[in-house]
Amino acid sequence: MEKRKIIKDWMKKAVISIRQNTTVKEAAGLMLENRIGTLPVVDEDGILVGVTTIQDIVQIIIPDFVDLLTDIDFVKDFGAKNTPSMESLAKANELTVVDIMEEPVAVKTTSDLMRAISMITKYNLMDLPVTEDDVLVGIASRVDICRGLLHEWQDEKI
Amino acid sequence: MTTVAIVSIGITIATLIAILLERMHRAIIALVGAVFMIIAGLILGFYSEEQAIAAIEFDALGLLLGMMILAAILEPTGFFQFVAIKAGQFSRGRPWRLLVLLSVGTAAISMVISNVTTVVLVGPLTILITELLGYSPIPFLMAETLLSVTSAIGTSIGDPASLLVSVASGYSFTDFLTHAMPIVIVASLVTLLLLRILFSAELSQTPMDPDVVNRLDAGEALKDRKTAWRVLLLLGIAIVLFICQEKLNISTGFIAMAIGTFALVWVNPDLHELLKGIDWSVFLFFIGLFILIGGLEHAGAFDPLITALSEIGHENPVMLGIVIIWVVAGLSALVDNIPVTIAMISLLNGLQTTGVDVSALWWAVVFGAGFGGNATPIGSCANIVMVSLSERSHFPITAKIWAKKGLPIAIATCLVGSILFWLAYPLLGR
Repeated sequence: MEKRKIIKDWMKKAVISIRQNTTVKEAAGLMLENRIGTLPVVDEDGILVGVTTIQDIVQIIIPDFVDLLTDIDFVKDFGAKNTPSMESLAKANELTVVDIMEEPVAVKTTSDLMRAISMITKYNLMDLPVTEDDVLVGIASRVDICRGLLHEWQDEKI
Repeated sequence: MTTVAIVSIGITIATLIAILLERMHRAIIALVGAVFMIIAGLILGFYSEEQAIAAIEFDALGLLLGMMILAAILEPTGFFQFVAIKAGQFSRGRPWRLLVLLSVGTAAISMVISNVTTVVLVGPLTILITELLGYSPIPFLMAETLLSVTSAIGTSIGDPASLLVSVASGYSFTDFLTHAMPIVIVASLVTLLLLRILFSAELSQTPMDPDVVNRLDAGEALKDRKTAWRVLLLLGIAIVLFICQEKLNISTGFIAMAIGTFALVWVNPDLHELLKGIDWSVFLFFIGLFILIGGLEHAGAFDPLITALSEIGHENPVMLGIVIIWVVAGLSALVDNIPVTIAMISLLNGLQTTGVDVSALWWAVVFGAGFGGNATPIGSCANIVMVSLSERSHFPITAKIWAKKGLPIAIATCLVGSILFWLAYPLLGR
């Protein structure tokens, strides 16, 4: 039988992670430096405890009404909100990732690719952390997983 | 006091405390209270199932449902957004003018449409406009809430409390316009004046870019112009029918249901979606409370209080009215004004049988229920909704802010209500 395609073969093993007490500003710096959009948050034992995304960070400066209104098509100009206020920039210095991180959604290293892409779609994620005994060991982006699936597709002899 | 009276009072107080504790939805608690009241009534023989059903004011429920259908059809059309944007544009970005326009607009709408629906829809737009201009939304959100709660009692359909009193007392839509509305207008002006003083710093700011409100496209916000016009036309017809209701000799509940039904035919909306937009828990809450308070009435629990009050009522009815305003206001600040109003209705009905002229006292209940609701963040549903909306923004309205700005306004409007009640007493009766 053909070997089952699992996430371990398609994930990135060099995963950049942060600790809960990292400030939002530091996290933003790491994202910019490494051109990544997701930072898994781990505790001292390397156990995955949360996930911070670039969207969570930008959320701090997005105007409140964007979340509150179902439709903002009629807003042509963001006026006083066009640039992030000094307050929200100061807030990024104060807040640590624990304040903005989300509950982690992760899969085990043995998880197959279809399960992985289903999780990504279901929870609308950009990247999916991969764990072994709850310890973070890798991360796979939407593109990584889709590449794995398409590769499988190419291998099929129809 | 008789055993049945004590039992029924016990069940009612337990229910009210449970509502206050908010561990469970108030509608569930009211229904549980109603079930216990009927069980006690059946065992002790003071309250039958038929009496419990008869205690439900179906006219009030019909009126509520009809108006809710109209509001639910109007909601997705973008009409409320349109009004808020227009208010923003007329203000030219000046804070005081913006506050007056937004809150008066909200108040005017909430005289016809439930104030919860109104603040839910106008609130987010207010946050939008104030953020674009660079202001804190807090004074504006509070002004809208306070004014919508205060002014809603100006009509018999604006607030559940006035609706209940109208059905119980027989005071028509027109009576509310001639008796309650003038006092509500004075109270609203006092509210605006106090807001100007209490938020003087926030309301003296200058906008960074006043023109930004003109770059909001009100036309695009009004997504379904056709439906909006239809509903507004039907609302207008409903109001005309409410005014002519006595001559036509039909109930307000029927008018509202008929217009609501006609709106369903004319607009033909996705019914499942529409029904999701209606707060059904209000109906369960009302039914539970009607049955509960009906039990209280049948048990004769109000009798000692009625005897005591009838003396004051005969000697000094004005004094009794003012006491009612403050007691109802105080209770409405702590619990929802609906149970308080239903209990007061039973009390006044009882008082009437002793020969006291209660015709002016109904207005005291209305004013207390309306003005008292402003005192605390939990005083009315609109307050609760607006506070939780503000908590989703960067400018939460805290209990402390409310105590500093809302409470003085509630006290002032109750004071104004009391003085006007005293002065206008001869005009308020039948």
